[in-house]
Parts: sequence; structure tokens; C-alpha cells
Amino acid sequence: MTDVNHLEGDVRTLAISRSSVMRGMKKRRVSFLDIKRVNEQVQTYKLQETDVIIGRTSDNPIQLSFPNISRHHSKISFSNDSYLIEDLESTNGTFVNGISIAKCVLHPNDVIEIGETHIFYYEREELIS
Amino acid sequence: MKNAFITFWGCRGSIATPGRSTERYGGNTSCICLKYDNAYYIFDAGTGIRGLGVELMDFVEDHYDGEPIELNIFLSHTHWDHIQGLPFFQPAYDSRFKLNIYGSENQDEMLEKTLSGQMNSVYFPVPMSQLNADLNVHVDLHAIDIHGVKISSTDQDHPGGSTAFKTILDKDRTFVYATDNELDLQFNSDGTPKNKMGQRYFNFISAVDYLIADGQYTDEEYLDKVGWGHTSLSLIHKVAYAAGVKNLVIYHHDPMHTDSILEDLSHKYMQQYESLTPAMQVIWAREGLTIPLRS
Ligand SMILES: [Zn+2]
Ligand SMILES: [Zn+2]
Repeated sequence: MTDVNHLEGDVRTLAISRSSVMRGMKKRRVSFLDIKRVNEQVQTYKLQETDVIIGRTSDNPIQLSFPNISRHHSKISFSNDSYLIEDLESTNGTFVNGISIAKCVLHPNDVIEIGETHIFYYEREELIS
Repeated sequence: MKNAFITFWGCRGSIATPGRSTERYGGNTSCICLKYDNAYYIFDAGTGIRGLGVELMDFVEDHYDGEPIELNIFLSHTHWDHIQGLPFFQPAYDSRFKLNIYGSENQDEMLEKTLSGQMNSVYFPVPMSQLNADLNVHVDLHAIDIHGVKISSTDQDHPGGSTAFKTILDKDRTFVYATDNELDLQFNSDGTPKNKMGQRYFNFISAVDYLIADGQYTDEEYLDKVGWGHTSLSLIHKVAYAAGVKNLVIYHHDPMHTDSILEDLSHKYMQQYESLTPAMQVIWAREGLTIPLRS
């Protein structure tokens, strides 16, 4: 039996160090929100590690100025390598996948509902230098 | 009305199942915590209780005022997936906490002996004597009243026995924690009780706001698991609906059920029961979820 790994001219084995392969390959998980209202364009928001408040008034990083949204409605924070959404005792509640929540660790494809706004949470790997 | 929140720290049955295929619903075993009026009511101490311990340690650093923080832990039974996290629960080693552990007397072993047994040096490096928290074990489950919160219990059908707990808060808000219970041996397939234990369970869960219930097996899987002590999914939905439960929380997920399996099952039952009149909300417990307890 021929051992194909030792055939001359085999190009699958490269004399290259592991560290050089890994150089420039540092990746980080980045999280986004796609904010969608009926008949409106999707707005994309990239999450950082600072808290983000969603609410009706202009002091909110994510402002949703609609009547059924509380002034400060929900908060998204970064903790233990995950994003967590919290209802700020809003009048009409914060929903994740249709369930009224007080807090919820977010996972890709979760759908947040605040009033009539749908917010889709997702993650992507990004190369960092 | 004071706020009451239930957090799911572990929803998996039988054994912890970490990994990519379970990260959405979580891999930690049974543990939920009700926070109400600055008191904690913890149900089961599976591997999920470790995370709760980490949060409580953060809390005590900021809020300790010299008065011990009271943690009331209710154990449904002492199978591993319900007690395994206790040796890793940091507040148990900290004198700023007071731990009250409630559980039914096991037939042949004392509850206290069982808990210290898993801290025997053969299994775990730290003996139970090093738990610095003020620790009290209660085996009398009759008419428990903790600062006005009333907790009652009933026996369930499970190998070695298990206990369901009903908690009554102010304004008659109620929830039942009832895992590791084989309802298929107590109910007919239409959801009506077929024996005394079934009738007792039916009365126990009648009209509660939230029922956190064992839904480990699909109907097909159950056929091969008769006598294993867990319930089939269609039956728990039928029984809960017939008993007028307002919100059914499916819990104690099977280790073989990946996120996508649980997702498909949850959609199926959610659609079915939320379209009825009256509707019953169906929630599939997932780790890291906190829900407000409303009536
Ligand atoms: Zn179990
Ligand atoms: Zn069990």
C-alpha cells in the first residue's frame, strides 16, 4: 500500500510555523442590533462594552421616539462576555422572543420587541490587528 | 405590589451539557431563584447554582450591612443534577450568608447526610465543616412561612421520590416548581388524573400563575423511558391547560435535546396553546432568563 503522505511533490504539507499561520488571525466576536420598524429601513447598531439605553427621549443612545416607549425603556449591558438586556420597569415591557422579560442574556437570532419596534440581535467574528 | 423575579440558572436535566449545541438553552443543571422583597428562594442546587453564587458574592460586597443575607434553598430531591452545584456555591463558605436548606427526608438517608456525603474527601477536597455560612437543614416541610411567603409541598412520582413546591406571594401570586415527576403514570392521555397522586398534583397546580414543570421527553422518547421518572411533553401541556395554569414553563431539558430540537419543540407547543381560548402562555426555560412574576 502506498502512503500518500510521503509522495514526492505533495503540496499539502507546508514548512511553516504555527505562529506565522496564527499571526494576523486574532478574532473577536462583535455584536449588532438590527432595528426594524414597519415600513422603515433597518438601522444597524454595533454594540460596544458600554451600557446602551433604549428609550423615547433624546438622551438615549438608541432613541425610539414613539408613544408606547418609556423614556428609558431597556438597557443592554456587557457582562461575563455576554450581552444582557434588562427592562427598566417600562410601562409596556420588554419582550425577547415574545416573552416579557425582566432580564435576559442575549443569543444570536433573539428578537427583542419594544413597543412596535423589532430589534434583531446577532454576532459576527471580526479580525483585529 | 412588590417586584418578584424568577431567574433560571440551570434548566438541564440529568447531567450538565456544555457545548455549542446547547449554549442557547444552557447546559447547567436545575437551579432557579425567586427574588422577592430582598429575600432569595432558590429551588434546587444543580450546577446552575454556581453562577447564582457568583452574582450573590458581587451583591454582598456592595450591600452587606452586618445582617446576614438569607438564602432559602428548596431541594426537590437529592439526585446529582439537583445538588451537585452546592459545594461550588460560594455563599455557603461565607459567614455573611445564612442558608436554610429545605428538603424532604429521603427514605433511607438523612438529607444532611446526603449533602455532606457529596463533600466526602473521596469526591470533593473541602469538607462540609468548612462551610462558614450559618447553615440550617429543615426536613419538616409542613406549612412553611418565610416573612409572609407561604410554601407548601406535595410528593411526586420519581425513583426515590421527589417534592414539588408551591410558593404564594402577596396578592395571591403563585408559582409551582415541580420537576422530576412522571405524570404519565398519574394521568390519562387526555390530561385527567387516573390515581390519587395525580388528583393531588392536579389540585396543587390548579390556576397557578406559573408552573415550572418537567418536560424532559418527547412523546416518542417517553415510550422507551417508562418508569424513569420524567414526563412527556404533550401530557404536561394537557394537564397544565386542564388545571387552568396561566403560564407553563418547560424545564429539565433532556441532555440529548440540542438548541435546534428545543427550538422546534417550543414553537410547536407555543403555537398550539397560545392560540386557544383562554390561551396558556408556554415558555421554554433557558439559562440567563429572568421573568417578572405577575398574576
Ligand atoms: Zn433531575
Ligand atoms: Zn431525579
